[in-house]
Amino acid sequence: MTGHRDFAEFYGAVFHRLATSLYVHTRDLAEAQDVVQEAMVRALAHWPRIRDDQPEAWVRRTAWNLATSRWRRLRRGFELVTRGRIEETTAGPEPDRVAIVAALALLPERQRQAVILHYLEDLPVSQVAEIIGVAEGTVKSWLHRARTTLAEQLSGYRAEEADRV
Amino acid sequence: MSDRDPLRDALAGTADAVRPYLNPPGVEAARRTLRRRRQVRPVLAAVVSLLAALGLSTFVPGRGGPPAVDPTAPPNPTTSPPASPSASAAPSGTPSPSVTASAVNGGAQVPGSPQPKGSPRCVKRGEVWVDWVSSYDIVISARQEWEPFHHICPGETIRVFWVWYVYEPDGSQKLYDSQVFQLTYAKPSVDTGVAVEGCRGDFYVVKGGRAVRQTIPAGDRKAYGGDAVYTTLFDNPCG
Repeated sequence: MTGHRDFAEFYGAVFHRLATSLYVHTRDLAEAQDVVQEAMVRALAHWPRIRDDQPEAWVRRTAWNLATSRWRRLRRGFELVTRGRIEETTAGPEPDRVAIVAALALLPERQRQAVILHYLEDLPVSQVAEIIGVAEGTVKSWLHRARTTLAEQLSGYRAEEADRV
Repeated sequence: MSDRDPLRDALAGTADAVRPYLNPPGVEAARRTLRRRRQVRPVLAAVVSLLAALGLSTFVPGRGGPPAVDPTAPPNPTTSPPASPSASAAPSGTPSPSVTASAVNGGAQVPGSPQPKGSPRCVKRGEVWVDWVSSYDIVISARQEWEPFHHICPGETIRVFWVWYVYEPDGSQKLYDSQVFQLTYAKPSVDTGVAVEGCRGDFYVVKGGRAVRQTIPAGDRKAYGGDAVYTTLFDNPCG
């Protein structure tokens, strides 16, 4: 069935990219994959409707909204507590390979989201602004501030490079 | 000096490092989840209806409203958006454009349509959630972010409108299009849309009795204050 094949192709092309972004944001591989899978399930439910209208944007927005939802964070925290689960249960890359993730964690959440969407997913500032729901100027300001902060956190990252937005 | 951006390089390196550890549940798992939800939802809806009939709806989350419409249903003006079958959050959150608002002022009881006597009290909350906005599709529902079901009481009406502006050369914004809805018990969700042409300006979904503003002065980015349950701000693309 064409729709099924389309969705499978879409899933294969998009899952890793989005899960990586969400991992950089949440620092939790399991959580990142959970929210992308949930977004995919919802996309599948709406597939005939969204397949021709930027389905990746749909899934990206849904996954990010899930990841940043206060309710989900509360529920997730509750699950971790009640199950006695700790984040290390999911294997991940060595810390020194993902130093940027720890540095990003120091940024305010929306600044971090903007950095990931712009510098990792290569989305234009206008699209980042639309996803987060702020003006483009705000995103540019966040990106500049974020680069300044990151320059202070990461060795080998010169201050003058903070001006690249 | 190299043109390489160390931030992009670091993020790309992280993506490479993470990739081997990703283990996608897969398309079949997604289909199984969807099938299971489709099977469970009618049962859940029946249970809620039964509880409501028995006068226990006060204790049921999302009481007073029909269960969320199957998200797989084809779009129509009254269908619900992707409800969260797992009761996890629907698209939104503070950083996202979707923002729920406690509707202290938004929920309005229709005069002359009081609660039926003897029926369990349905607490009117007047809350509105914007489930989805794309270039052509806007879905607005009477519920809170985390609720899988609509919440609106019999006789309750929640006025809500979306409005889209376009920029004028002086930086002010003028009304491009808007649409007012009354969310009701019978119609707790609307699925609508607009295609904006021109210098696209700000977009709002507003709850309550406010009038649609014809113009927004340059620099005003909070045109509807706290009544806006959803805002997407755009810099002037033609400026």
